[in-house]
Amino acid sequence: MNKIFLIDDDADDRLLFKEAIELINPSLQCDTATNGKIAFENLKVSASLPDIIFLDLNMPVMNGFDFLIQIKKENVLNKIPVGIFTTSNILRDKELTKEFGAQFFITKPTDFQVLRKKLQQILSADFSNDEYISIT
Amino acid sequence: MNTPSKNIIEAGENKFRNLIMEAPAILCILKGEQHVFELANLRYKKLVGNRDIIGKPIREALPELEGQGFYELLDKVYNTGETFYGNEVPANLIKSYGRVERCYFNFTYQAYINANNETEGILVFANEVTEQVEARKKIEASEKRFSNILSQSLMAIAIFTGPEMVVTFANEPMLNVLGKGNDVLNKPLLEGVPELKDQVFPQLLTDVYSTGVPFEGFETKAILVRNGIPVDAYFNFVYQPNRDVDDTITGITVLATEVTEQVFAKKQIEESENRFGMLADSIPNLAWMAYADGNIFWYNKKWFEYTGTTLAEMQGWGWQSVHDPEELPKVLIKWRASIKTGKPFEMVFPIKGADGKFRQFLTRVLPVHDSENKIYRWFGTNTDIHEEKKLTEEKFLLEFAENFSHYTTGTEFFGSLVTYIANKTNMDYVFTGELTEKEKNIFTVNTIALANRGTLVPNIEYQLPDGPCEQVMRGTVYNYPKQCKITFPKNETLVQFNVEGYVGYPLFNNEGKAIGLVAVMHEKEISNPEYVSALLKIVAKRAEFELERNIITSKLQAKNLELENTNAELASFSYVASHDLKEPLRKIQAFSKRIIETENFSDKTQDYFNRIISAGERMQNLIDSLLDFSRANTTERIFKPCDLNAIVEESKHDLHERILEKQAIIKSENLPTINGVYIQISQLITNLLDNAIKYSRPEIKPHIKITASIIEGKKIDHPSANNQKEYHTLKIADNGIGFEKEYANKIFELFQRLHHMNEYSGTGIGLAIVKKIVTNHNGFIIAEGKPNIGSTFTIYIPTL
Repeated sequence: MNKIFLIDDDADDRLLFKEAIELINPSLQCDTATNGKIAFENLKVSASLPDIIFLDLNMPVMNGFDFLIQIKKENVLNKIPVGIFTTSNILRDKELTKEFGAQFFITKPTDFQVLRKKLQQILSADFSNDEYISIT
Repeated sequence: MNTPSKNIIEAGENKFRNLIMEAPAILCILKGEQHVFELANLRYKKLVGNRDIIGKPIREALPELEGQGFYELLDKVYNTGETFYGNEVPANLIKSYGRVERCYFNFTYQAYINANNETEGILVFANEVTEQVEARKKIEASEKRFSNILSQSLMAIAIFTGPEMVVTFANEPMLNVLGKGNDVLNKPLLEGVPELKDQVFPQLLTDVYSTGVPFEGFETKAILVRNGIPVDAYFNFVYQPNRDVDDTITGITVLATEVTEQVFAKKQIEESENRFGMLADSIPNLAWMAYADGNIFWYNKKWFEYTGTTLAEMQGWGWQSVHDPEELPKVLIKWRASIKTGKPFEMVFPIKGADGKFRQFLTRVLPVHDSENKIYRWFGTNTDIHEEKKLTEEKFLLEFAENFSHYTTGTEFFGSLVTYIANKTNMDYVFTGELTEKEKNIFTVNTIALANRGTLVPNIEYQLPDGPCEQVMRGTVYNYPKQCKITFPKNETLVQFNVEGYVGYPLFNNEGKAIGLVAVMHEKEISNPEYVSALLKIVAKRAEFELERNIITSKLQAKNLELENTNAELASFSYVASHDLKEPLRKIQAFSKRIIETENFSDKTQDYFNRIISAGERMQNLIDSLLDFSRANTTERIFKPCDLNAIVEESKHDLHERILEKQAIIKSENLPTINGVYIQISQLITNLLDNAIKYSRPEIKPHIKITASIIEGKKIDHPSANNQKEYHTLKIADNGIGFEKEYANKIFELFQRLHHMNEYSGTGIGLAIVKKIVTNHNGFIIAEGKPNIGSTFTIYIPTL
């Protein structure tokens, strides 16, 4: 695991996320994008692809659902595990994103330590066998 | 061998041959198995067209005989030695020019035997009899034809000869009608058929014989003995004198047809008509009978009594004189149509009585069919309904009530109302309309139901000014049976619908203000405007009520919709608001925690941050609960079976940490499956369990027991209980802090808390949500408690 990619419009959440990743593995590169469209365009031209993508759902321009649908249509990009990182705890969102090919679903906690634990769990997971993880 | 004896034989043979050759018959000798022509005389050769036959087998020489049996006959004679005699045997033979002709022969095939007693050949001897046979056949055919004509004729024919009337010929039908056999032939008539003696026939025959004037009888009765029984028989017949070459009368030809059955049938009809006439005289109705063409030939006594007429005046089409000249054309058209089509006739029209006054009669005419299903009579009755007509209005009211009592919705009611009026009055257009004030003092009528010739059509809107409807709106019934377009020349609606006659009736609300109308329009003059307006008057009361109700209902519906929309907006507002409130709160909490995790503060600063975090948590709880509460309003209310056992297990799972923390024990009996909104029922159970765990007494482990049963509504002492229903009862009992009786209702109110914040961490929303959910499920909840003993929440939800 070398590189992770967070797509989230919320600057606070990006900050907390990056801090948590820093604590887990300081050598891990963490790229971010503020909506699905920017992320998608970045990924299309990127020389080195991320090992995993964390995706917020509620974003302007292109939301998480649309990004998920788009990336799953791409030949190479669709191999990257994508998971949901959101404040939503709505069952329907979880079911829908799973259907679209998301491989995990985590809700954003208020407690930083809880966040760190959740991220750790995701980063140590093996998604190569279409595994699905839900931490809400 | 050349001996004298041989010569003698040879000479004999030659002589024989010559004899054969010149014989006046047809002769030949066939030899051997193959019947080879050894010899054939001149006649034979001529018969077969002088073909070269000698030395050839017959099958080769005369191939046309194949399949006619001659070859086989020859074979048989050759093999058996028996002679065959043929008599008038037909043969198809080629006589000359290759043409096959049919010939008849008398012939013999005779075997001749040699010295060793062996058959050597066949001697054929034949005479052609073709001409004789054909002549005879012709005679036979013509005889047959003639005798067929006489004897097979259906008409009974006999020839009587001489003054004695000797029966010299009688065909089978004649013998049959007389009931006799062949023994009557060649005897005087009265000897063979003595029963005729005292009847009219002997005299008639004598007259014809002596005068030479033919006699024709029509349906003449004869008494004849058939099968030993004297019977009445009827005949149409002719006595025709037969004359000699010198014109003297030699006898009489009789041609007769028996018509007994027809005569009997006619007699029966006459009898039944007589009986019928007697019957018809005794009924209280006027009655009459007509021939198939409509000519009336009989009236009963009541007819003459009522009309004061005579049969002579009334016969045929004379009845028109007792009709109202105004009505008569319609009656005639209808009656003629019935005669033409053979269909029954029914109509109400006035008939003039002997006193010169008209009364209304219901006239029904039925066709009477004969055995061949052809109309041969019409039977008519005229029933006085003058008195009954006075009852019509009452009857109509009853019918009307029956027709309209069960229509509930306004549109359906008005639709059936206008079709009903249309059917009753036969008016081209019938409608009810609502008066709308579009702008100040500008009124239009919007139809609520419009029937065009009895069929509902889409509604229309029309302007009121200058039309009869405007008149209606100002007053009472307006009646314009004719000349509408002339009376209201400016009205476009009348022109558009080509209206000649109009009757309208206003509909008032209970304040006496005109709110609509019910009206009919007709393209022709309205012939019965009184009836139509009476009808409209009757229906108006009901229509008024319905129209007013319609107006109120639609206002109510609009209000309801408005309210529902407002509610939905509110609910979605609070949902979105609380959802969005959570985001910044989460950040406050998250960063506050990050600060005290990463920085070293003084105790005081640390305490302040902890207070920020704690306040944030409370606010989060509050927002979460509010979210739940608004969700209880906004979620789709799709009811489906919810297994309470499964739901309790799920709730226990959700509350896992709190249960562990408080070491709570939750027991539940076998719980039912109820119909409900799953997510809400789940929330209900979770909130109640959470409540029971939360309000436990310090140092006492919470014991929570869930039980269920079914109870009839009438056995529940609660104002919300419906006596007609059955309820699922769900009890959740705990051993917690309980509450004072006075708080039993208060605890369900939003933001009502019985305790200080620092004692118990409630938001004051949990039980309000519970109550909301129970209400959503048409149920109710009761809370009972005793301080420091425990609380019991009982939920009642209808089983259906």
